Amino acid sequence: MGKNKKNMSPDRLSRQIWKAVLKNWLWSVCVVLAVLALVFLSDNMSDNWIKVLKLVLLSLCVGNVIAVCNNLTDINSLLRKEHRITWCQICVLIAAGVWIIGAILIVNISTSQQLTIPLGIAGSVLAWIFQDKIKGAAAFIHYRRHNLLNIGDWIKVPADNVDGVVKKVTLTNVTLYNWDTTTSTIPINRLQAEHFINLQNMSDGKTYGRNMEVTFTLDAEKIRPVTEEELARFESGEHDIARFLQEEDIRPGVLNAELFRLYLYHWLLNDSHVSQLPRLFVHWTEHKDTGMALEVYAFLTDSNWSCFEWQKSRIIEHVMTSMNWFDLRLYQSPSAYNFENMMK
Amino acid sequence: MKAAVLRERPFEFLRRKGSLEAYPEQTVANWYIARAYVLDFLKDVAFIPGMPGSLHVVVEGDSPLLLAVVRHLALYSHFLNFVEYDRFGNRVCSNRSVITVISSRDEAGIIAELEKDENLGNLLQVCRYSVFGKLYNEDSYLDLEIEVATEQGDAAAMKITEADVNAFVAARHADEIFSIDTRKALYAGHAYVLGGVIDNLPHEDIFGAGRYVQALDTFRYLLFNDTQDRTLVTPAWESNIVAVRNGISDIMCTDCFELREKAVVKQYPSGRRLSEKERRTVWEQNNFALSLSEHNRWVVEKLIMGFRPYVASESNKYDTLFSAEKRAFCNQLKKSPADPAHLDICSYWDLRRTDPDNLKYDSFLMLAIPLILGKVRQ
Repeated sequence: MGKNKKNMSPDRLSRQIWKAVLKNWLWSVCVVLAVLALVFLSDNMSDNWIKVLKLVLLSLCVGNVIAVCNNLTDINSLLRKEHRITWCQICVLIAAGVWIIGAILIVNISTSQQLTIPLGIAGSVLAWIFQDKIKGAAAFIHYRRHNLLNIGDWIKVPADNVDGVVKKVTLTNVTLYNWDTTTSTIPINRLQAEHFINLQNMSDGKTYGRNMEVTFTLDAEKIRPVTEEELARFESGEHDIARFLQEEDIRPGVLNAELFRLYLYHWLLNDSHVSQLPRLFVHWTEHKDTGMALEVYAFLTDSNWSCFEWQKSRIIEHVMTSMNWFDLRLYQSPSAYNFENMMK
Repeated sequence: MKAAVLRERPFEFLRRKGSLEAYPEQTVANWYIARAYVLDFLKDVAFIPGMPGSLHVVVEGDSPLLLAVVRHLALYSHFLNFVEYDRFGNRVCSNRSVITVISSRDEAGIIAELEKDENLGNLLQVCRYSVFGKLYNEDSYLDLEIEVATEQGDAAAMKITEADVNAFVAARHADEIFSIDTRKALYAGHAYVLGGVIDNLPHEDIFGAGRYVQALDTFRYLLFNDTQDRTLVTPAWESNIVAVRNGISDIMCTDCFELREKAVVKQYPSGRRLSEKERRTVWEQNNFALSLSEHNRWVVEKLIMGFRPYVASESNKYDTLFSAEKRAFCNQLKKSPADPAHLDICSYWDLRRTDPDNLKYDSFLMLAIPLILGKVRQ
């Protein structure tokens, strides 16, 4: 990889290419030697040896191009030059194609009938062996064409338990730096076969928000109609509860759990960090042995991970605080400490 | 293809809130004069995003004509350097335009005068303002501040006197002031309708300009084929106050196009002729600032035209309704002749939170400005 900053300058493509060629000087020397051998020794060689020499020369040229392209991919990955990465990988693909076509022309199948069948079989076997690579090339072009996978994107591949940031994309592989500081390399065709989730736009705050789903299990024993005294307190403006409720909601006989749900819903709607779209629910799920489960399903506008967790915690804390205002309590399984106290 | 220049007199159709009573002739004349004067006054003012500073205008007097000028300054003083939230997510509301009114009335008297339908309407309910040093709505989200004082404090501020306005009127032909070229407003109406029908925009980047590319091409095609000499004022204006409000809203919106263009053009790289693609890129880069300023302009316009934001009980009620009921409730409040209320009278940040689908109207219209101005200048 080019270590010289000047050579990595994104504006100097020619310099980058020259540096990448020089880095593979051994390949280049071999190419020159093969050309010289072909020019000066071909008069004394049989046709078959010339064909072999031509194949070697072709392979060296293609290998050189691929090596240069891979070097450029490394440099452009560092520079996040997405288009150049794509073109480098397309050049690798074209070089491979050129090698196949060149080899067929050199061998000259039309006049070498005896090679047709073995070459056909060899081609089929190679296609079978490299089917993943071929699919990978198709997947690469698809993802790059539609801008679905870029350097720096945060992606998740649930099937492989991979969750991290894309560091490098090639024709065949995607390299990710995982959140647990490990590195994963997955074949690109696997992204197409198994589904993957790109969270980058969401993380950048370009979507409506980041999903927050939290369930609070309320102790069912505490659910009861609110008392006249409590109604009077709510109406008098205690804890600013009345601001988040409609007048008709604060009525005799209403359950404290219902008032709490309505309060929480309106409180979330008015919170400047909560997006009202695509959806915002505060709803009861089924009753469990442990109590009544109240789920908050919302989207927070702070989609950056740390900000999101901060705001999420703030909301959970408010839920825990406001629960007491309605004389509700979270369910907690009895612990050894509780039993110990009970026995005393 | 060229469309004929249309000059119309739409302000004659303005009506007092809750009735079909027309304004006195002089009040209507003040609308035209104030509009023409303020557009001329602001023609060289341009603040680009990130630029420090703000407009400060001192209006020396509180006569009906000067209060009309204050109203139009409030309508048009929305610039691209206003910052509602900084990049750390903190609400800052910096670079507000400040309009100072020099008045000799008492506090109650000047507030009552400003709150009249023909002056600022409901603007003072939301806008940050101070009367003789007493500050109201300190945390307003609007990019505007009104100050009432007995004497001017800022020597560097731009000044407007009644004599200046009268001299401006005397120097111009009456037609130039008392009639309006409504072509831009008609095209903005097209863009608004098109914005209404594009309802499957990609959700990948809700502030991005890329999602409007196809719609802009369609709009360009519509503009190219538009040769009919239609008028903005239609017979429906005689009886339909909603049509009047919408038409006048389009005029006020498009009046700011040249001011916005000036701020964007200021950012064009100098020294060579830009391709259309390069020009479009600059507009796209300014899309957020343009949309934010347009939303603030729209909020000020709605408040001046008599709309108000939802009160808490209406918001709570709205939040508990769903689908068709929600829409019906919203329309009922919006179309109330006596006391119309609009859901989207809120900060741009809150709009992104409460009604993000409506971001498209501002963004799409702002990106269509060069197309509309290009068509008008043909």
